[in-house]
Amino acid sequence: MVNTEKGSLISQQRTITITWLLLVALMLYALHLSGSLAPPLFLMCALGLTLLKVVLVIWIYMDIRSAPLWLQGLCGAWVVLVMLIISLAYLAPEQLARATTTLATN
Amino acid sequence: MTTVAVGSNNDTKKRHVPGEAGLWIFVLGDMCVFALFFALWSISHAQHPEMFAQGHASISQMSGVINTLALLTSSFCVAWGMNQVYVLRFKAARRAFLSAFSLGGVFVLVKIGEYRHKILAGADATQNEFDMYYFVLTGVHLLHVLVGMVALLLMIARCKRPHAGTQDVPFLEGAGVYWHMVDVLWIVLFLLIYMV
Repeated sequence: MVNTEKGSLISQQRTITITWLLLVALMLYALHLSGSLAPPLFLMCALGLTLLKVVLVIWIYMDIRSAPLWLQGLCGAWVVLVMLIISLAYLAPEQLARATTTLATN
Repeated sequence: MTTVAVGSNNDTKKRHVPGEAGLWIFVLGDMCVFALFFALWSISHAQHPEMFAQGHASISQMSGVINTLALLTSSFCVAWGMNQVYVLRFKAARRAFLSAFSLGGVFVLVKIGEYRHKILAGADATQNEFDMYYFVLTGVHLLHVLVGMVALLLMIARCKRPHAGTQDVPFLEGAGVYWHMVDVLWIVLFLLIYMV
């Protein structure tokens, strides 16, 4: 598709610049929290901040926001799956360790 | 001056698959393989928390931070370059892709330094699960970075051609998507290896 919107380009450049600033700020904020929060609370914050960063890169930089719904759904499913696995393993490690050991022995 | 924009994102634009549709089979497949790696790492962490705590203490968080900054910034450069491609400013796009390539080089150098430090400190991937998963996950990711850097070189070459035009957009978008995927995977690896 071809259009003649110069304003669109400027708006896009602004969006990707703000996204980059946000990504860097989120990473620095996570680093700051690592020294100041108790481990369980920090874990949840770090997971949340990582989720935000992943969504920003996929949505804005990979341009999934203008992709068909099936592709948005697949990318969304991947993000949810990965975050669920990591959350489960880090927030309930004993239950997961027990479950995987039981599976391995059976 | 009227600027001709191709494939830029605005409300009037039709939904489209970034890059070539076939590439997404590879990209999504690759992301699923890494999801499995993340699951294996997480399960191993749940089974051997002390070993992983010692492993975390043996690596430098600063090298992870530098590499994260390098990849986030290189993704920004690629996204910036793609916007230049959409208005057919291939010279500006080439400069942006070259910056992204240089930042990829920074990532590789820092990673090599980290490996060297870890090996000299006595890391043993055959005895220690943290070391094994660390080398496998970061090694496979590093291979993706190297492939991505080759893709960036191809993007630079495409933009340098005298007849570069709208026909190059799908290829450039696809290579860009690959580079952003490498960035996404690293963001999760950074969390697992350097943060928690």
